[in-house]
Amino acid sequence: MNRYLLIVSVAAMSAFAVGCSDDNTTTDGGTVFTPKDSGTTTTPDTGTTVTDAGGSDATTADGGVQCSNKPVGCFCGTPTTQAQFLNRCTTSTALPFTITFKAGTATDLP
Amino acid sequence: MRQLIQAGVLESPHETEILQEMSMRNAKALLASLAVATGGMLAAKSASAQTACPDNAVVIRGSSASEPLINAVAVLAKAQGIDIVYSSSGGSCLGVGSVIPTGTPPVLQTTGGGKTKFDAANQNATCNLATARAADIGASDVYSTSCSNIGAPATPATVLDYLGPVQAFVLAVYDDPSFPVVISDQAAFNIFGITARGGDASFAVSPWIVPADLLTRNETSGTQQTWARAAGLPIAKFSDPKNDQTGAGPLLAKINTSPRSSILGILALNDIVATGTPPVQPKVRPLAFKAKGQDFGYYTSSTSTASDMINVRDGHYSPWANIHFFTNKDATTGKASNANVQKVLDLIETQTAVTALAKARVVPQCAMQVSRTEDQGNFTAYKPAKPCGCFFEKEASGTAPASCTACTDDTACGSSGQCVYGFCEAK
Repeated sequence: MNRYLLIVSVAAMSAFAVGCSDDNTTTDGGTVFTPKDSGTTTTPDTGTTVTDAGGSDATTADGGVQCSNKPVGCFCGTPTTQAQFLNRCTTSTALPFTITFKAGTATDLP
Repeated sequence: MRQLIQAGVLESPHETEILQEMSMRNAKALLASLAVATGGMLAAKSASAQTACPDNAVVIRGSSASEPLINAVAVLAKAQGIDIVYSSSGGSCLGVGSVIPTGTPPVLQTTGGGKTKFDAANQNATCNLATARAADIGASDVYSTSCSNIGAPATPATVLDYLGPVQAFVLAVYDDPSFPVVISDQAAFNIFGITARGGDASFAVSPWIVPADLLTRNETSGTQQTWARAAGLPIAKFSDPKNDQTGAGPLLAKINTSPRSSILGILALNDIVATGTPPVQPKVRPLAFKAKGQDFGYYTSSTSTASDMINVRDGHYSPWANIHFFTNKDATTGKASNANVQKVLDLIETQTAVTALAKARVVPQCAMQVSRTEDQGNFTAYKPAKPCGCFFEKEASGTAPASCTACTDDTACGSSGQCVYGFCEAK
């Protein structure tokens, strides 16, 4: 358990150095994106405390629209690409995946 | 009962309920017979004999994910004089095949042809169709093209593909605090594409390293179709048929009774339901999922215990699919050629239906913020004409988000807002 927490913590702290973009902070259809809370330390179903996935606590305000700046490296603007949708800033629990393994490809399929 | 589930005799938790119900009905029938034999005056109707389905019933067949919605819609339809009969046999692709000609003959049933959804007090009883017939509506978790394995073509111009609510699919584990909470697309690729198929052990992903513990459905299952795409695997390379379970119910039961970290199974989120009498919540929990190109893994909702489904709605949780309702199309109007079928489709996003969906952890289109046009395709922003996010969250969670404003009409919502199901939403 301690080792797991350590791995998660290290991954969270070292994962990304990219800050949020604040050039456009509306979501699709012009709906205001208003995070429900700013908490980041979460307790998943397992009861295990997972450390913060990074990002600052401050919100970015731009024209009255807010962005949570979480998790670290998230995208704050109006998403137009798949990567931007998947990595849009959110106050939802964000969990690093830390299990190490050798990645397979199509040629490795039996 | 549990033995029946484990043995695969019962296909789903719903069938468990049916068996319980039927057992109760049989007991009532026995009591009635005894009463008659002894000159008693019991006139209880024996429900053990299947009744005839209404002649003009709208028959729906396919994805079990659609059943909570159909239960709610059937009650509304009955008020309009429309009887709905439903059967989940065959799964998503055979739902497609009920309407779109494929290489597989459509399922035709008479005896036990469907569940009596038209009877609000007895929706899980079965009735007999007078003549063998295909469905009026084929329900599927996937687009018709995803069922090419049974010969389904793209949806022809003569068929309407009505996009219904969104169903989330999950990888589920036994609920033990020491087991992982998150998985990635690449891990799923290795697990189901290599380990489950007896491939090179050096690609194993701990703790999911035992092939027999990697539980799947079959190629006609919308759940399996979705997970194959989410993992980046061809459907034919997803797992080994010997690991296929006969339905979501047996798969859920197997995880629930296998307290080991190597167990991993594919399910729809709303397959994880309490079963038995009294209902007991299974020791099964969904994992967060990190998709290709994503930096972190996310649950379907904002936390592991929330029910807002926000990550499905805004595109942070990727393994989801619309429930499709396929039916024959009127070439002139573009609507269903059967007027009663169109009335049923029109009921799918009513307030009552949204409530039923929210409680079943299925997302109506009106609560979605993203859409896609192919299974596991890229997202685009989506703005429904009548957004219902606030009402959906209230029904799903018990309380609306603090950011939501209650209303009784549009005047409370300003020039850019509209009042939808009691809350201000964007126009």
